Amino acid sequence: MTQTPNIPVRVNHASPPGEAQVQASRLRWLTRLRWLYVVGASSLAAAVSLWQPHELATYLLAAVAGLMLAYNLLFAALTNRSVPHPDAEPTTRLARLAEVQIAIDLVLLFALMHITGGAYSVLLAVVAFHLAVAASLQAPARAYFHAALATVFFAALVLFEGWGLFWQGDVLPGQRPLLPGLLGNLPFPLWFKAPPPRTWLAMSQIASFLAVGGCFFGTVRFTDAILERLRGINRRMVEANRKLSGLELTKSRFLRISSHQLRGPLAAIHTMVSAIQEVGELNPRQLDLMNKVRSRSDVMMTQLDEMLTLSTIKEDTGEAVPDQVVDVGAAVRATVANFDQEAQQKGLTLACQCDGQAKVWAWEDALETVMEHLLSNALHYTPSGGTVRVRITPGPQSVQVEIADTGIGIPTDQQDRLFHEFFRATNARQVCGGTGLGLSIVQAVVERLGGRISIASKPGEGTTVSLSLPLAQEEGNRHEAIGTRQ
Amino acid sequence: MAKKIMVVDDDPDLREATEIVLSGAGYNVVLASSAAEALEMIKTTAVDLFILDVMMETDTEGFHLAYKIRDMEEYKNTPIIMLTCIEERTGQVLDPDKAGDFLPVQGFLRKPMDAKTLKAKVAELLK
Repeated sequence: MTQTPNIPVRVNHASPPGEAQVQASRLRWLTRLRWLYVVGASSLAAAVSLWQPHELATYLLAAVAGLMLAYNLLFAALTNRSVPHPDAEPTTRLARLAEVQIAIDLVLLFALMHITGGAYSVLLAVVAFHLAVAASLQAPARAYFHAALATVFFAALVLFEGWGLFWQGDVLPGQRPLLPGLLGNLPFPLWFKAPPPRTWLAMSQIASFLAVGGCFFGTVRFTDAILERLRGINRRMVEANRKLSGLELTKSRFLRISSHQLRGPLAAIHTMVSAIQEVGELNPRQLDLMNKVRSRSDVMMTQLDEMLTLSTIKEDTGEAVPDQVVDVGAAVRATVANFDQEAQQKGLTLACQCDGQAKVWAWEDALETVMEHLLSNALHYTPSGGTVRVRITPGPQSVQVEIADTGIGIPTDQQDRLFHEFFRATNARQVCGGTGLGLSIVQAVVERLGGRISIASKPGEGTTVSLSLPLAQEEGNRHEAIGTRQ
Repeated sequence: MAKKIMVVDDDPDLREATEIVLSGAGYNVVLASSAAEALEMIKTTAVDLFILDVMMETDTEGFHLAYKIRDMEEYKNTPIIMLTCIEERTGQVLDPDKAGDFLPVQGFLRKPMDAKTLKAKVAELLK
C-alpha cells in the first residue's frame, strides 16, 4: 500500500492583479507607445534635415521630439514609482496622470500636424488612434472629454491656418507639405499663396469641424463599445470560472467526506477479518476466502486513501507554503533504494544517477510520495529484463528529475488523459490493478511545489516521466514559486 | 494473572474485533465507548494497558483522555497506545515517530491495524 503523503490541506495561491495594478500597467503601456511617437518625430526631423532642408521645420520637429522624450521620461518615472498594492482600488492620482498625458500628447500631435503640412495632414489618423487608446485607458466620460479637446485643437488649427494666424508659409517656404494631406487634391484650396475667399473658407471649415469632430467622437464611441463588449465577455468568463472552481471544491469536499465515511466501516472490516484469521479456527477453504476478503478490503482502503489524498490537496482552504529545504538527490536515492528488492525480484535493472546537488522547498515526504508513485508505475509496467533509470539534473533555476523505463508504454491516443482522475490506459489495465489516481496525486503535489510534470511515451518502447522543480535559492523564492504556478 | 487491557473506541465493531484478538492472545479486555465511560470504569478497575482511539465524539477526545489518565497517580506509568486515523478528517497525517515527542503515550497504531501488529505492540509494552 503506497504511503499516504504528509501534505498540508492549505495551499498558497497568488492573487490576481488588482484594479489599481491593471490601471498602472496600462499607463506603462502608454509610455511605451509614446516612445514610438518620439522615434517617429525624431526620424521626421532627421529626414527633413537631410532631404528637404527647412531650417525652421527641422528645429520645430526636433523640439517636439525632445519635448515628447522629456515628458515621457518624467511620466515613466512617475508611473513606475506608484506601485499599487494588489488589493488597492484604482486611484485618482493615476487617472489624473493618464488625463494629463493624453492631453499633452494631443497638443504635440497637433503641433506636429501643423509643422508637417497642416490641419489636414495624415497625422489626423494618429490622433484618432490616440483617442482610441485614451478610450481604452479611461472611463468613457474622460475619453469623450479628450475627443472634445482634440476637436477644439483641430478647429483652432484650421481657423488659425485658414485665417492666416498660423500661416503655413512661415514654416514651409515652398508651401509643400512634408506629409501628404488627408484630403489629397480635392478642390478645397488647402494651400494658398494668399488667404482664400472668406465665405468659402468659413463653409469649408465648418464642414471639416463636423466631419473630423464626428470621427473623433465616433472613434471613442466605437472603441468603448468594443471594450465594453469584451469586458462583458470577460465578466461572464470570470463568473463561469468562479462557479467551476466552486463546483470543483464541492466535488473535492464530497470526495473527502465520503472517503472518510467509508473508511471507518472498512477499517472495522479489515480489523475483524484480521481477528478472524488470527484466532478463528478456519479450514483451508475458509482461510482462503478470508484472505481474499482482506485483500479486497486492502484494495478499497488504498483507493479511499488516494481519493482522500487527492481531494485534500485540491481543497483550497487557506494558505501554506513548503516549509523544508529538501535535498532532491538524497530523497530520490532513498526512495529508489526502497524499490531495489522489488526490482530484483522482477528481474529489472534499477539505476539512479545524480549529476549534482539540488535543494528545493518541499513538505516532508512530498518528494518521496511522488517518487514512490512514479517508480511503482515504472516497475509494474516494465517486463522482466527491462530497465528503469532515474536521473537528477540540477540547472541554474530548477532541477530536472527523469524516470525512464523500457516498459509497455502508453497508447498515443490516451496520453493526453494520463493525469485525469481514475483514468488508466487500456494496456495498463491488462497488466495490473490500480486506482487511476496515482498520476493525479503526483501532478497535484508537483504543482503545489511550484514544479511541472510531463510524460513522453512510445507504445511498446517505454515511458519517460520528467519533473521540473524550482531550486530553493532564497526565502522569497518559495512563495514566488508556489504563487506563479497558480 | 492475565494482564488487563482497556480498549476505548466509539466503533462497536472495532471494539469487538480488538477484544477478540487480545482475548485470543490471553489478555483480559474491558471495553469503553467514550472517554467519560472509560474514566468512570478505571475508578473501580485496575488496568495494565490502554488502547485509545484518537477520534471519538470529538476529533481529539483520545488525546485529552490520555492526558487525564497520565494525571492520575496510579496510571502515570501505564502504557498507552493511540489508534489514529486523523488524516481522514484533517488531511494531516499524524507521524507516530514525532507525535510521541509531545504526547504522553508509548505507541501509535494507524487504522486499520491488523491482529499481528496489535498483539506485537501490546506484548512489547507489557514486557
